[in-house]
Amino acid sequence: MKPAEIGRLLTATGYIADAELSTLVWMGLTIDRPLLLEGEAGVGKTAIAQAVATALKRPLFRLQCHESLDLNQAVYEWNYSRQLLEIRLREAEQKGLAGLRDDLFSKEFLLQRPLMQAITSEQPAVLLIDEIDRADEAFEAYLLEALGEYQISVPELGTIRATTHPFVVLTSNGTRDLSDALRRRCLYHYMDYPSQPREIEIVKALVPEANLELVQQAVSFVQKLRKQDLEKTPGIAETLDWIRVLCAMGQTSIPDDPALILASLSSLLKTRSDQWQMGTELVAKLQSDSKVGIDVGVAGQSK
Amino acid sequence: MATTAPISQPAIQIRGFASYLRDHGFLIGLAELDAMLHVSLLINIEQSRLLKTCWKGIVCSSSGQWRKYPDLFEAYWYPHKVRGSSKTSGVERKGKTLKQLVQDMHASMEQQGGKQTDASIGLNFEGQGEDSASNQKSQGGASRTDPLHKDFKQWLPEEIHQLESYITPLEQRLKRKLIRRWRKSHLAKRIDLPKSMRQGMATGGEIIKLQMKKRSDILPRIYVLVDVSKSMESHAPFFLRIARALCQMLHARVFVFHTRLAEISSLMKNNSGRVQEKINAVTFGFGGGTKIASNMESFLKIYAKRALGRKDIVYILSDGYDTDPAEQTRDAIKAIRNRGAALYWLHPTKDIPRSEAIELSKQYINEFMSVDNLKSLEKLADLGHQTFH
Repeated sequence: MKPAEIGRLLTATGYIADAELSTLVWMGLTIDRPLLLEGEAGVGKTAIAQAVATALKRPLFRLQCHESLDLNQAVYEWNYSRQLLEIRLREAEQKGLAGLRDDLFSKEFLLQRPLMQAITSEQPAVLLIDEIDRADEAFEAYLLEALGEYQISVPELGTIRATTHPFVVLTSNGTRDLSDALRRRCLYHYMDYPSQPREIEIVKALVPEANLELVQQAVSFVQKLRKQDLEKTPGIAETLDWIRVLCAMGQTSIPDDPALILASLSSLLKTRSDQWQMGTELVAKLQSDSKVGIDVGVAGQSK
Repeated sequence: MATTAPISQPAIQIRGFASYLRDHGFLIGLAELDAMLHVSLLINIEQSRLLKTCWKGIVCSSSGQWRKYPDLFEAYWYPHKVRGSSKTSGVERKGKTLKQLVQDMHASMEQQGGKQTDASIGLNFEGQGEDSASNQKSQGGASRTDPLHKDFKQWLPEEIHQLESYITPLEQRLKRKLIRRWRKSHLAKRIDLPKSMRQGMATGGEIIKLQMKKRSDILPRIYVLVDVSKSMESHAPFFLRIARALCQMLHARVFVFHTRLAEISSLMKNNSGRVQEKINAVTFGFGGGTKIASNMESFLKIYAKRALGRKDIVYILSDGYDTDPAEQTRDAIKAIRNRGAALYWLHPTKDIPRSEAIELSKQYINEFMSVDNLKSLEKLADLGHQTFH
C-alpha cells in the first residue's frame, strides 16, 4: 500500500487528509510505530484514528486519558464484585474450595480495558489514546513499556503478548510537555488548522447539502476569525457546526446582516470573553473581508 | 556492537543530516537514524522528495521542530536554493543531492544482493560520537560568532553544587503547592475503593480497612527565557548555567532569545560539554538587537499557547534592553500575567533595569531579582513567597 492509496481510502471515509498526514499513516503502518498527533482542539486528531479504523476495516479501541487515569481503567482490572459473588456462591453451595484461587484469577474474571483489548485483538486493531497529555507521567512511563514490547504483564496470569500489533494513535493538546522517551518512540505530526482550500474540501465532503457559495464565504470568515486574538480558536468541528446551523437557517450565503451572523456565532465561539469581544463592527469587517477573498478567487482554486 | 562492515556513502550523508539536526536541538538517536534509513529504502527514487515528509515524522518531536524542519532540510540538502548563510552548525555536506543519494542507496542495496543490513549502512556509532562530529566542523559559524565566550566546562564542581543547593529549596517550596482538589482541606482523605476491595480479598472479601488515595504533588510548569543578545554577552553563560540547573532539577523548559526565540530544553538536559557550541548553533544568524516583546509573543503563541496556566512560573533572565516598542513589551508581559502565571525578572545589574520597556511593564512583573553573582541566587526560593502560599 502506498501513501496516496491511504489518502484515497481516508477520503472515502470522509476524512480529507493532506499528503503529509497520509504519508505518516503509511509510515506508521509500514514501520510499525505509533503516531503522536499534536495540535489545537478540533483540527481532526481524534477523527484520523476513526477514519483509519474505518478505511482499513479494523476495530477501534479508544482510551480517553484524564488526570486520575490508572492502570485499572486503561489496561485491566479484576472483576472484584464477581469474584466476591463467586466466593459466596461456592460457600453457599458447599462445594469444595479447592482450585478456587486459580479460578478467581482466570480470564473469566478479568475485565479488559482498551489497551489490553487492542493487544489481544485477533484482528489488527486501531488503538486511540486520546489526550495523553492529561494522563500523569507514571501512566506515560507504563505506556512506553506496553507500546515498546506490545505485551502486558498480569501478575496472576503471566505475560500477555500481542497476537497482532495495533496501529496506535496518540493525541495531545499540549497541556503538558510529554517525555522525550515517549516522543521518540512515536512518529510525530503537528496538525495545524487547515488551509482555506482544504477546509472547503472538508466542508464540502461532510456537509454536502450546503451551498458552495455559503461554504466558501463561511470558511473564509472562519479563517479570518482564527487570526483574531481569541481565547479558544474555532477548529474544523466548529466550522462544520456553524455551516450546518446556517444551512438549517435556510441560508445560501453568509447573511448580510451582522446581527444574524452574531446570533449564530455561538457555534464558533465557545467562551464568554470571545463572544463578548465579537461585536457587530468586527463581524461586519470579517464578513466584508471574506466576501472580498472569494471575489478574488482565493477559494476558487478548490472547485 | 562493533562491526567491520564498510559504511556506505549515502548512509554517511544521512548520518550527517541527523548530526546537523541534532545540533539544532532535535533528539535523534540510533532508533531514529535506523528508521530514517529504513524509510529511505522503502521509497522509490522518483519520490525522493517524499523522504522529506517521512523523515519529518521521525525526527520531529515538538511543534517547534515541526516548523523548523522544512528550512533545515532545504538548507542541508539543497543549499544552493537557500540565500546567504545556510549552515549554522558547521557540519559539512559534500556532494550529492537527495535524489542521487536515494539512488545510491538502492544501488548499494542491489550490489549486496538486496540484503542491506544495519551494519552495512553505518549504524555503528563507535567513533561517531561528538568528538568525531566535531572533527568535521571546519568553519562552524557558531564558533566564529560565539556570543557566550565563557564555556560551561569552566564551572567547577563545587560551584555547580552551590548553584544546585540554591535551587533545592525552590523545589521543596513548589512541591508544597496543593492541587485544587486538595486545597480546601489538605488533610481530607479520599477512599480508594478498588484498592480496598483488592486488600479485602486477603480477608475473604471482607473489607476490614479502607484504603485511601494518596495525594499527588503536581509541580508547576516552569519556563526560563534567557536573553543571549550582545548586551548580555558577558552574563549569558552564567544565566544559561542557572537555566540548565532549573531544567535538570525542576524540568523547566528553557528558551533563548534575542531577535528570535528558540527552545533549547533538550540541549540543557544533556551534560555534554558541547552545550555551549550547540546553543550558539541554534542562535546563529538571529541578527542584531533584542526583541523582548516579539519573543514574549512568540513564546505565548507558539510554545505556551495552552500550556501556561495559573500555577506556572516564567523567569525572564535579561537586562531589559529592548528594540521593540515599550508598549508592545508591556502588552506581551501583561498577556503572560493574564494567564495567571507568575513572572519574575532576573537581571544582571544591581538595580532594576531602567529601560523604558521595564518602566512601563513594572506593574505586571511579580518581582525583580538581581543576579550578579552565584550567592545572589540564595534568594531565588524566596521569590514570590506569597504566590506559593
